[in-house]
Amino acid sequence: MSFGIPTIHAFFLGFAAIVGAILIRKFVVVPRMGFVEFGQKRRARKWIMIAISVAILFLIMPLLMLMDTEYNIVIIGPIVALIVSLAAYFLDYPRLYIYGILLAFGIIESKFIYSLIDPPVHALISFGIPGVAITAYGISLLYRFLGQYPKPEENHAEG
Amino acid sequence: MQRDSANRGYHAPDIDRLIHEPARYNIMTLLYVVEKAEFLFVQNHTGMTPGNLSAHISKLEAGGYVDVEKKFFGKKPKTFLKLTPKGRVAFEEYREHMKGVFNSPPEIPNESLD
Repeated sequence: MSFGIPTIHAFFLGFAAIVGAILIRKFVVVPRMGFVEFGQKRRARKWIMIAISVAILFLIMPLLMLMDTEYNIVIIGPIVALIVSLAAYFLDYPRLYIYGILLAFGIIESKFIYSLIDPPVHALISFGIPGVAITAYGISLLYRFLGQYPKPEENHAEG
Repeated sequence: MQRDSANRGYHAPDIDRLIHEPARYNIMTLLYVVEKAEFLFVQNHTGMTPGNLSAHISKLEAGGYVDVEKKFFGKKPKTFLKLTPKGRVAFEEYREHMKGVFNSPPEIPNESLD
């Protein structure tokens, strides 16, 4: 299931996105907004979400790979949307619902345009459009955040 | 509401005035839903100035409701705030108390209206 793009590139992109998000949180968000450690309830919700996602990834996805039917990619789309929607629900990030739908749309669409457009262009269309939409929205949110929360002065009075 | 026979008036039941002040109520509410928060986070979410927030935190700390911890990250000092178990209980009691106040409005006896 390479979608015409070497799998290693897809993993690299995913890994880069996760590392990028962690670095932005550490060097941009926390210095401006301040550190917070959430209560047990919220942490429990996060771990439930991770457990369900891992269970789906490691139980259902390999089964679908083994089945190797013509339409397993169409089933994988909604599963990805389900995992992202779980994250949206448990982490209370409503915009993740839209991201999930965009990703599912890209995966399903890749199946249907595969026969029309040669790889890797079909993968760039299927995943490039959701990717650009998600990145553009993320950049606009970051821009708004930077305006709303300027970096505090070094020697402001605390406690 | 309770009858204050000495003054022939009425007063609200014993409300925790340390929490009842709006700014401190905001701080307590925020700290109640988190485990621990940096001073800057509380400042951003309450919209208070550092000096004002600091003054209210000092009062809550003196009352034993908030634990203030200062740490250095390199040369930068950071202040972390946390509700103490006493503060958590006091806030829960305050919430219950206020619910009671709003759910059962006072009945004023006829003689006091004369």
